[in-house]
Amino acid sequence: MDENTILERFPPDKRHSLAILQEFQRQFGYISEKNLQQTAAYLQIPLSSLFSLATFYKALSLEQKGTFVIKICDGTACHIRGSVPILEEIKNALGIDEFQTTKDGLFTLEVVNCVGSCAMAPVVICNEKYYGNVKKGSGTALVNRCKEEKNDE
Amino acid sequence: MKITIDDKVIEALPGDTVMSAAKRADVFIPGLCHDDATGGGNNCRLCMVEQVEKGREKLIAACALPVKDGLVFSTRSQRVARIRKTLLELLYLQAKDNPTILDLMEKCGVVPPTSLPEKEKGKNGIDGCILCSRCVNACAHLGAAAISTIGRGVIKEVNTPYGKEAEVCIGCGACAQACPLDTIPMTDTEEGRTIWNREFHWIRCESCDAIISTKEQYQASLKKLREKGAPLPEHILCPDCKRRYMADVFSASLGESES
Amino acid sequence: MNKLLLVCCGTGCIANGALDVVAALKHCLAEDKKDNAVLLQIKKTGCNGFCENGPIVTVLPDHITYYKVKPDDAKEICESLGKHPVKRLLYCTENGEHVLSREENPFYSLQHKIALRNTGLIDPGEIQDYLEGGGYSALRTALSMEQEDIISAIEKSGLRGRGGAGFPTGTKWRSCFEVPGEVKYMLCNGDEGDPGAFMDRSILEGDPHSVLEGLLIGAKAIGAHQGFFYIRDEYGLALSHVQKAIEDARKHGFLGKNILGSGFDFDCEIVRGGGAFVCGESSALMASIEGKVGEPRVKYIRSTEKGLFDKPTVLNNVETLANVPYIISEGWESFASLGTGESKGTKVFSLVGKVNRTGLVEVPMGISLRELVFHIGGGIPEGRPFKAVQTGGPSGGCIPESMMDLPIDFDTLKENGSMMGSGGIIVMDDTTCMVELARYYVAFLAGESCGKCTPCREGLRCMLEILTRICEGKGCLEDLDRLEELAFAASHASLCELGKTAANPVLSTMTHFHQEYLAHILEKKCPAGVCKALIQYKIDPVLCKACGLCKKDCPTAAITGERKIPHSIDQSLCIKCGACLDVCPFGAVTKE
Repeated sequence: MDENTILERFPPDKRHSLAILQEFQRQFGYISEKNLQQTAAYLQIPLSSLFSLATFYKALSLEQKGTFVIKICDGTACHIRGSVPILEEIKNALGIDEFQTTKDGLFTLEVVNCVGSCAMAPVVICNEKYYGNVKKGSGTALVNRCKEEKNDE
Repeated sequence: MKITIDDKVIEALPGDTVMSAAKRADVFIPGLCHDDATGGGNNCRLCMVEQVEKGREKLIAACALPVKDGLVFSTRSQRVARIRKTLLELLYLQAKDNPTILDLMEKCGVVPPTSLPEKEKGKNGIDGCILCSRCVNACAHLGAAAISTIGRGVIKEVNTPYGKEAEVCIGCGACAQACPLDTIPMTDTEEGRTIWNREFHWIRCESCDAIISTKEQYQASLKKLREKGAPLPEHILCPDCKRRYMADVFSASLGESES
Repeated sequence: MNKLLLVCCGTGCIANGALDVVAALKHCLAEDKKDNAVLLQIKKTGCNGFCENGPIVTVLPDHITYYKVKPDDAKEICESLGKHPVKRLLYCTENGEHVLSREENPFYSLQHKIALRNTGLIDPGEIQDYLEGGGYSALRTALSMEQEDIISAIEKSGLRGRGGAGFPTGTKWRSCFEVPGEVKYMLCNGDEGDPGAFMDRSILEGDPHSVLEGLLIGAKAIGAHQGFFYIRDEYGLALSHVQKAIEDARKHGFLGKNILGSGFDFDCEIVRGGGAFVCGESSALMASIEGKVGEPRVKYIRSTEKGLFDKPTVLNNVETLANVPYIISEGWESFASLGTGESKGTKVFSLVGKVNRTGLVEVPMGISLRELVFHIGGGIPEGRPFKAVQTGGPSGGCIPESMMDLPIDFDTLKENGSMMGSGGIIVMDDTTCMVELARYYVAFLAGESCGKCTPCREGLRCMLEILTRICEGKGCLEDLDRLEELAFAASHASLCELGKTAANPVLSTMTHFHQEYLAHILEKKCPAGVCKALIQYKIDPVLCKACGLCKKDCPTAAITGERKIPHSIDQSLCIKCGACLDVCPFGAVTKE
């Protein structure tokens, strides 16, 4: 789906701003400056307004993410069951902090709010695949597994 | 309408908030974020006062609550004092040594805090922003909507999109004028103005060479006239020279009709 | 014989492989068809509630429920139909008893399902299932009632908002009904954000029509012809199930013009959240639907008067709406006969954390915390001591053991420094640090605060810095006074409820677990053994048998040692993950 198809799916009404940007996010993995300007022009709203929206909502990203997006759930159940040691381990293994992408563009590490799988806490998601009951010390192995499974696809 | 603040009965007009009625009657209620011109506000929360009803007290924001006849307020409760103290300390941490903040602190009997954590500087190069958003509202109403609040929570700040030179900024300076703490860097020289990392040049009066505005602001006002279908000015004149010019035009046409 | 297999396919069970179980069962069905007299139907349902024990398969009409089912079990289950149950897949109680049916499972005892009446029993994607159970009959009734009478029924039922604020639903509907205006809006708040809470998600996934029907009845009552579902962006399954429900409802004439010939028009659409917890706040949610940033506004003029697009609006929580059709069908007396004086009906809770039976439960209000955690929940795993229960999410507080007999309702918990909130109940044992927990909640809110007002934005920033320092062993006694002052300003001067309740976890832990704060500040110790800067993992050279298991498992190669040489941990490399302690067979690793 190209940019114009995305825009044409919505009437040019300001109230569709978030939905349009979410479509760009879904299609391209992020919202480029060009796409943001196109959307502002289509909706006839100031770029500054749309930029404010794009930086307010965490579902939207203005930066390209890595091939593998690893999300560590830090909901309360996961937190009590040990999400933090796993986060530390993966940070250490990848050499980046949370909300950063590795220099080779392979991995982006994020910490996310409760994903509602509390019974399997602690939960790690890699490219939308859920890994539950992640044990302490198994973060590095998990990263490797994500790579393997994705390469197999 | 009449309302009472700290046992003083004052007049209130329809459409007044507690704050606007208090201001008119010279009753002091501190506040930084409300702008009579563009509205908005309700975020610095310095204007919290007690509304007293049937012997019970309820904290309300004076700049937001519409006035009704007979309401009673108190600014002298312990709760109000405690809130003002903490809020001024938090504002101070964002705008260290700002004269307006220091003035307010003195008026409310609060000293700068010594052991609360400092606030990290943002990326917009502005020192001392309290995120009242008056600049953003002014720009949206009077300027070109070139700036907005970026992000949310603790890292929220005011900036142009991507922190770059905003193509749409017209250098009108409405933001700097609206800022209650004078923290938006704006430099005016003989040639022009620098604001938001962009340089603007003046457009000057054809007659007396006085500065009218930035070229971009002038262009923006011409655009508004075109959109309304109004006639465009034949000469670029400052307000004084324009008056003299129009006076000449009128007197010339009167002279013609008389003769 | 006819058998119906219900397979739980809520998000949790799907993540645990439920769809593979369905596929395996269908495969067995295809194979068996040739010779068997068993007529088998497999139905995917919503959440059963007993989430840690999924995937769950229930055999009807026998009422046998199997837990932790794997695809490989499919064959055995199919072969056992009509004969004897597969014992190893039955739930086993603490007394070693295997129970056959859901009803006999202690997890489901004391439960009374109203909001969850269909979830786990019907296929949420099939409107026929919903209709067969009496669905949309309440709508038919409501369409023939006067608006006044619908509102009166809801008022008399005592239904209060289930999203956290507990505002009387009937009162809200009445105040909007009384505002003149042709254009009004009826909204459903599906932006459930409390970490650890997944009640609304399960209802939207498992019984979307019940919420839609509630929305329709509310719309009729207030006179709205347009509605929105605002659903959290992360809830993919809920979004698709609600979308399907809306489309099917339209096809059946429950949405659109002249619904069921009543002359009443109503239609709705879904708005997807953008990943902002604050959008669960009513005015922020409405701003978000309008295409703005989710910043709350002062509410001296209520939304029922001027809300979405400045029109009279009612916003109700998912669970609140799910109760509405029941009240209209079964009568307000039935609903009001449950619960307590001021808190009628039932409430759905998510019971998570350090508890033996984790999941979603629905109980009449007034049940005690003790009954919930120990009877339904089965107490703390590994026999560890109970420490506290967190209720109300980031807006709530911690309840210690001494207060566990308090009834759970809207008002009692509030009077005791917490709140029931949306229903998240997080159970904690002695391995949870209450100071770190307060820091966790403040960090969560600091990231989710919209940032508009000073006391919330700057107050949370300062509270976070102070609590982080305390957890690092760099706190001082004055920090506790500073926390109190910041908490006071946030609680009284913030613009919205996020800010106003942000300090609750801090204040309640400071009240009930003051000793823990003092230990961190004065002794630089973390009694629960959680705060990394205050703990050290050590290997006892006497107990260590140099087996090398810890060295193998260490993710940062911080352990050195050879065969027959006691191992040791390089503290500068250690990231305190605890893997070594977990794996050591000789108890040689200690945490101090």
